[in-house]
Amino acid sequence: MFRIIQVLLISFFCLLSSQFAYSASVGDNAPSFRARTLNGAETISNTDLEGKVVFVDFWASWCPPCLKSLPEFENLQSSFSGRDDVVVLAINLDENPQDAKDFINKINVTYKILADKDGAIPESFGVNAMPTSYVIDKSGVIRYVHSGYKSGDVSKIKAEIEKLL
Amino acid sequence: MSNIKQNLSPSLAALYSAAFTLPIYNKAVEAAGAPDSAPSVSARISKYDEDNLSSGDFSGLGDQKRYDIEVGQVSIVYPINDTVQLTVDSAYEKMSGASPWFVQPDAQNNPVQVMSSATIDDARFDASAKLDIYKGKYTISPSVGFSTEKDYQAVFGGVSVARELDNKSTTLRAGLAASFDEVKPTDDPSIDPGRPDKEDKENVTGFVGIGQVINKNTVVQSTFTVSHYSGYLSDPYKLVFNSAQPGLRDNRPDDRTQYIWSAQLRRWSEIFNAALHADYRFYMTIEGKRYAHILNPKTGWPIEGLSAVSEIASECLIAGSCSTVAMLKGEEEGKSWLEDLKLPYICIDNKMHIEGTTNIN
Amino acid sequence: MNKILSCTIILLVISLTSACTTVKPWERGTLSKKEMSWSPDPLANTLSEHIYFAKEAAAGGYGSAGGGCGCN
Repeated sequence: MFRIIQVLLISFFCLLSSQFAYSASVGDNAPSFRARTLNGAETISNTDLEGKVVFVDFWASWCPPCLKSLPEFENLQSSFSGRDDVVVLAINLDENPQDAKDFINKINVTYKILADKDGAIPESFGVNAMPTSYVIDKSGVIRYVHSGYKSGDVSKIKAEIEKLL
Repeated sequence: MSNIKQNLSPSLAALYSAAFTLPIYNKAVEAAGAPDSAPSVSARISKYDEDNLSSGDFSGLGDQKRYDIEVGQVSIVYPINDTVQLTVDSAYEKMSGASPWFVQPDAQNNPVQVMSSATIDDARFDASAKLDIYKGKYTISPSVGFSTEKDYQAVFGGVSVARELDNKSTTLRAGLAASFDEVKPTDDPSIDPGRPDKEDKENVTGFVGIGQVINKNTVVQSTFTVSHYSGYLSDPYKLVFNSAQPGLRDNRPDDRTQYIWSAQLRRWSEIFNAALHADYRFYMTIEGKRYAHILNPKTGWPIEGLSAVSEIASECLIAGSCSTVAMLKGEEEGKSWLEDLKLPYICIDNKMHIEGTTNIN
Repeated sequence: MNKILSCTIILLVISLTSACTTVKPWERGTLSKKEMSWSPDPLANTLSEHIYFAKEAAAGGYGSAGGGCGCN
């Protein structure tokens, strides 16, 4: 029996995955991206956002901390209302976008939500946790990376955006 | 036994193990990384009954109908803050019916069961609380609880730790728990004057486990558990038939170690829009005493043949070794081997037939 | 018997790991489904574990680990 256990343990340790090769961090140029909004009404790319401070959040409907953060990002957008040089952008990664729509219909948010069900954009950013958000300055350089989400994190994000204005 | 009356003690309560599964097992929670988003309450009511004893196995003494059981369960999950979650579980269980008392030979020398009367009526209540504390890659989960019924009380505590490796595809988990139990039989002592008034039992259990995400639709885990029981491990209500010694009590070893290995698979099927669950558990108890379970080293399965062998020799080592070998040899070969040894012995086969040397001094 | 069991387990592991891939954080939607948890119905699991223990003295082996949404 112990031999069987040995076999299994060895097999399992052989399965250990390796970390991703690249993960965008502070100081890097933000990768280019282009995607349709969740409702399909328009297409947005990074070039449309040049000269603006951009807050990008990667989320999915099956991720509880993500769901907690989305209504709070509406407060974030409101705190910069009247300014046209701050953009809040949420990129949904559900493989079935209908799951994301079902959730969005229950909350009242006005910022743009893009859909990337194939995961090309988080791949280019090297996202390694859900949720992960980035604050990108007016030159397109990443200035802040935030992994995970807990209540009150939005105030940290707001402070980072204000530094760039 | 001709002096057993048809109506047995109405207050005879079965020993329904209240040393229930420790919460490190019950709380099969993934290392989710965060508390739930909102509090939740779950409730469940279950009702089941044990199959009646088959007529061929029933002695005709006592009641053939076994237990009816009703269970009410409640679970409350309360996220205290972003990093701590409390889970409180409780259950109330009612059991009524008849319980096995002892086995005796029928007219053809086959073993048949003597039951109690169907007047057992017992209730058990248990409650436990567990905290899940999420600290980065670690989840620490201490827990405490208790269980109580008329003749059995138990308190327990434990802690488990889970750690996600950097890629979150591999999770390591380990835990340790202990339980302290007390049994105080509540049947009428005049029915069974020799039964114990109060006994204690302890259990310590530890486990290590590993979970691995295979791909986005498949996850597996494997766990190895060692559980050690000590103290009074017998059933105070049960007797053992012996024609030469009426009223012999159930008398099991006072310690037992159990090894358990489990493997689980969860695989999602897009075709069926459902998950396949495959669970496997393997149990092994290894005892040093000659009348305990023994595994056949070739197959890994429990042996068939002689259930118990007692031997008298000038040294314990000889007596123990000979008894063990006799059990491993199987029924006929074992008996033949015991005869050849020319040492006094008694053996019991799987049909509860007793054989051995007569006129042992 | 042990050799056969070992070979079977190795083959099973290999067949599963033939589809072994690195799962990206945003690909864990299926793994986070309730049906994919080790115990989708915790109360039913508690009850059946208690019955196993009370009736068969069979306990343990389910210190669960892994799977889930992997969220922070």
